[in-house]
Amino acid sequence: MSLISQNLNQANKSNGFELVWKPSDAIEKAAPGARNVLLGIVLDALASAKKQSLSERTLSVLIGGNLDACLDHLFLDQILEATQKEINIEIIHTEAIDEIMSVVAKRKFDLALLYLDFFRKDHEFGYTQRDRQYEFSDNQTILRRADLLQRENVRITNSGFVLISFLSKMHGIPVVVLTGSGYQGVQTEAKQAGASAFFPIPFADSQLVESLREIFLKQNK
Amino acid sequence: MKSASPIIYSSPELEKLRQLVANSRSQVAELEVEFAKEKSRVNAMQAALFRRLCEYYQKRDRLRITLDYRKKFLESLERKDSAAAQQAEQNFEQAKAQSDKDYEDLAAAAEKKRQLSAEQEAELMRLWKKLVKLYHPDRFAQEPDKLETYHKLTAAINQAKDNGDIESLREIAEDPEGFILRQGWTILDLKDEEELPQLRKLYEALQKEILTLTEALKVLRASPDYELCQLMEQKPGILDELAAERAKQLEIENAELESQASQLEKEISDRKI
Repeated sequence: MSLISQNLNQANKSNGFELVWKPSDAIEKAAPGARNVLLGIVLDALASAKKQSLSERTLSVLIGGNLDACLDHLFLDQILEATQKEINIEIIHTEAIDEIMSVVAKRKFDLALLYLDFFRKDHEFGYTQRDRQYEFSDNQTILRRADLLQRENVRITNSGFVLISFLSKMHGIPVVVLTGSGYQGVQTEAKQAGASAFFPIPFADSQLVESLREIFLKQNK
Repeated sequence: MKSASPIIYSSPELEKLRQLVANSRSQVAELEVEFAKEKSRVNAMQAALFRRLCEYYQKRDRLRITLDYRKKFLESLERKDSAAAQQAEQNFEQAKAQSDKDYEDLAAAAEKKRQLSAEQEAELMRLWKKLVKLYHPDRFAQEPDKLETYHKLTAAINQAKDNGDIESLREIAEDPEGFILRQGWTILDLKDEEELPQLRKLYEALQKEILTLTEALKVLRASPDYELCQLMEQKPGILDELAAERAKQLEIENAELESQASQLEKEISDRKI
């Protein structure tokens, strides 16, 4: 019981009228040993219940970009290592931007792993730095840009910051970006667009695991 | 000729305070019932879980105590320390008796636990709305005989609350003065205070009571017992599943402990020979 509660109880006791029900239970009045026995039984049952609900839980991961599907099982291992729990993982792998847009509209994802090589396409779109920063805080613009990517059949790999902000800001999905891009400012801009983590290739597995762990911790997964 | 109508002066501050006190009393009553309701759910869950699993846990705890004793006894035999062996035996008897008592106490407490029905909850709400009107901190501080009665009255309420004795709560709430008379205690004037300073004091005390109750509810809702209760509410039938799973695990654990205990017993008898 908190200090404030103890003090208030004390104040109440001095009034001689403690209306509160809390100390009245026979179990609470039992000896500490008996209370510990009961607490142990409850904690064991709670641990079993949590384990059971964890094994029933599924983590949905979207993997996008022209990454070889053979790599999925490596990502799976790293995700499992990061969760440190028994959990089912479902992976949706796609290289098509329209598929991403349609699938995130229908269901919830816990994580998106994207292979992007965006800066080239951004230049083609003629975006300036200011345009990009503006669009990240405006859902309608994000959606318009994403629609444009879809209509022009732009590949995920080349969909740039738009896809990051579409997934993270519009759909609340944590986005981890893997990139072969050597462009200097790209990491900062990807973070501004909403990326939770950014990994220029090559990177160490442990870095990715650590980063995924942080994301899952925030999501309480 | 115009008739003179009486002018009744009413202090706006007094009126405001009366209203505040009335609102606070209503809030205290609601919180009391909310706490009672939640606590009753938690108690019912604890009792149900205990009833299903106590046999396995009690066996496990006895085996653990036995194992601990045999290990210590064996060590004392190895050291040829008869005083330590005697002490180990004494501790074993004490621990066994304490553990048995713990389980007996819990079994007795669990036997009484029932979850409140919707009717009981409604009844409690009605009773508490009346009972909180008896709340008069320091009202009789200057009158020792009345203060004693006041303490006895509040003790009776708490006793009834402790035992979940709605009948007695009803008896007090319906007619507190009659209850006091029947007990042969000094008569109390339980009407609300009319003076500003007393009302202010009462209002502050009620505010403290609200804080205490809010905090108590917060503590209860943060407890593992409450978390388990919530899980059980989300998934009806999970209690039976969990109990069955725990029973199975405990059977395995107990078999292992039994085997270790037998092994130690054998080592002790070999050493004695």
